[in-house]
Amino acid sequence: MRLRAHALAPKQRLATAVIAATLAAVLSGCSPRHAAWLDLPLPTLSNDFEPLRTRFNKDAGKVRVLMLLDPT
Amino acid sequence: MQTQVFLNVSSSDVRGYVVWMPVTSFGKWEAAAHEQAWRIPDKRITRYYDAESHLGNVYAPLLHLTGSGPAWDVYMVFGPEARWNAQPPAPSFWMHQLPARRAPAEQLLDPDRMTHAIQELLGTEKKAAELEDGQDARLRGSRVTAGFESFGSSTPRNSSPRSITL
Repeated sequence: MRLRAHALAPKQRLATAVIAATLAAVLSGCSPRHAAWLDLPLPTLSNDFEPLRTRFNKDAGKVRVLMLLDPT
Repeated sequence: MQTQVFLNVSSSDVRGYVVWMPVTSFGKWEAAAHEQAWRIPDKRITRYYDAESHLGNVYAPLLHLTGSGPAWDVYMVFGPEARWNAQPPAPSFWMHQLPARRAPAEQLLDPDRMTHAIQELLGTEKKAAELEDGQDARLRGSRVTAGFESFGSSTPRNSSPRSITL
């Protein structure tokens, strides 16, 4: 049976729109963007490499990967 | 690349640090750094900014890079026992995306090899912990012999990092 949009009741149309919008957001990768921790300001390294040095030593016991990159 | 390594290695015993250095970028580096952060949405990674490329300048001679300029586009792996004292530690393993005139071509970035190196170091630590646990269990459950004690004193957990040669 073919289901046409105009044949749906208003409540069903609203539900369909909400589901479609949610799916679109998830598939377009918008969902992870709600991770507020990624928006935090970047800490600037001092001459003695703090706060990275402290963090690195705090993570002792784990395997650590340090990446020096240009953002562009 | 970062995403790939961190997707390949799901262990919670791995941490990553991205240090952004404006080597080739001018002006809107901060916006670019934030934009890049969204490409690596992994809570095991923390991000920093090194405005003067201090860290890159320290690592350039440490990694024996040739030519001038800081070390950048480099990926360094450190074992669980590595400590950052007065100077940054030397990595157990590293790769790069630099031109051949600056760094060995055989260490050109390969995410699979990076992943393997990380897993090797994770495995080394796990084996050491198992050895120690096994030893503890035996010490608890039976008589202690001098020979066993001396074996125990050389468990690899406190040994220096194993270097992975390419």
